[in-house]
Amino acid sequence: MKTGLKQRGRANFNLLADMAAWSGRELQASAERTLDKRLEGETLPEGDRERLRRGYELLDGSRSFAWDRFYTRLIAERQFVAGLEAYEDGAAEIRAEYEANAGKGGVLELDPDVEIPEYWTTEFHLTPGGWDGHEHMGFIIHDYVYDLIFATGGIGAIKPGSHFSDLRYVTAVEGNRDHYDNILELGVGTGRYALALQHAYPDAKIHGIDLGPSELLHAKLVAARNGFEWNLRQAQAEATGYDADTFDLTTAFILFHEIPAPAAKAVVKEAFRVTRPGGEFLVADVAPYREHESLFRSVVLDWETDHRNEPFWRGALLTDRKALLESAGFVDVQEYGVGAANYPWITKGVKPAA
Amino acid sequence: MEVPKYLEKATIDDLARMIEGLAEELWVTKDRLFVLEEVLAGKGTLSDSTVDEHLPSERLQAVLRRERMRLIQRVLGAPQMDH
Repeated sequence: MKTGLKQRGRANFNLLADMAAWSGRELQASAERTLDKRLEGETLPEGDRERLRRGYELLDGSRSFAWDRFYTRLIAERQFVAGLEAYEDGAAEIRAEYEANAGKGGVLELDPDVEIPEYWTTEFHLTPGGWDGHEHMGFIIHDYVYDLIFATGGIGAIKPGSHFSDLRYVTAVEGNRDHYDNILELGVGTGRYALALQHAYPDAKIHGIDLGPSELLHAKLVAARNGFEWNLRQAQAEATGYDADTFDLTTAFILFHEIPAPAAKAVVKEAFRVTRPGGEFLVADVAPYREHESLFRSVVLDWETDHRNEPFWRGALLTDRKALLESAGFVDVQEYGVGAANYPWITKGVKPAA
Repeated sequence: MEVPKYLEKATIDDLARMIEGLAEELWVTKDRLFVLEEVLAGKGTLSDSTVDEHLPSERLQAVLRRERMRLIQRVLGAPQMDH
């Protein structure tokens, strides 16, 4: 049983998770059949935006699509509220776990003067108050909402049946080498991908930066639970504060769809600066619209932009990320999908040797 | 097959009154469960935290999963979807 979790929280999360999986599997399949029928004999327009617009038009009036979207939105609204309620029921045990592990898990440097970009104040995924809407939002997101609702798929880019911790591991092993000394994760969050990186490269020293204190605090607990020691720092991904040429692998998992295009450019520039010559930059995120298996899948993903507080999602899925890495100076840039339905989508490049 | 409609004159108010009625009955049932737990704790059958801390066995988890899916399909799947 998860720390502090009681019967009410367990049962509530189980129901929300099964609702998401059921709607994702059955209602989306029904809506997709409707779209496929309506697409018969139709020549879709060129251009991602035009194709999406036509997809929405053709799905208009589909009951299965309307109900699936309604349930998806409702689950998105409910999951963090249910998480906050479950936290209240188990707060004493949760606080005790943080206290018992305070001296473990590595080093956490918080910066009270860190500049918080405007985009970061978004209530991403309808999280009440945003990523730091609660002093232990990191715990609520990681241990409750993501582990118990998101984990089995059916939400966002994660297909029903896919386990999202596994998706991080299959990304981590996409580094070009078998060994790294120093790895930096940009947007380390609650440490789920950092854990996959550490499992993939057991000898590497893991460094992680993020803006959210509650996420970083939880990442440290995740390291402690697993017997690891990480260097965690509160900083912008655009300005990490690390010296140039420090890391042989710089990496980011699902960071780029949470930031606007100018920030994405600045983050890639910073990644290039802190990566050692000959080192790599490995990015995993949602694939561009053109790489999805069907128009239906693209529409469902695009819907996130306006309905699940993902304001930078559409821009990210329209961005040529390969060109973004190349424009910063990375070479041998490759792009490909490694999971079901091309999620995660990998973009990786090498900083030229000096 | 199109399902026939019988309630075209019904209103959202009617529906809200029915939901409020269900909320009352749900609460009466929840209250009774709390009372039962206290009575059983008083008799030494349960401690205060037995139900809260109980991790269902694999057998019960399978039963719960099956029943959850039935509930989801019965309630959330009730609206007419695409054919």
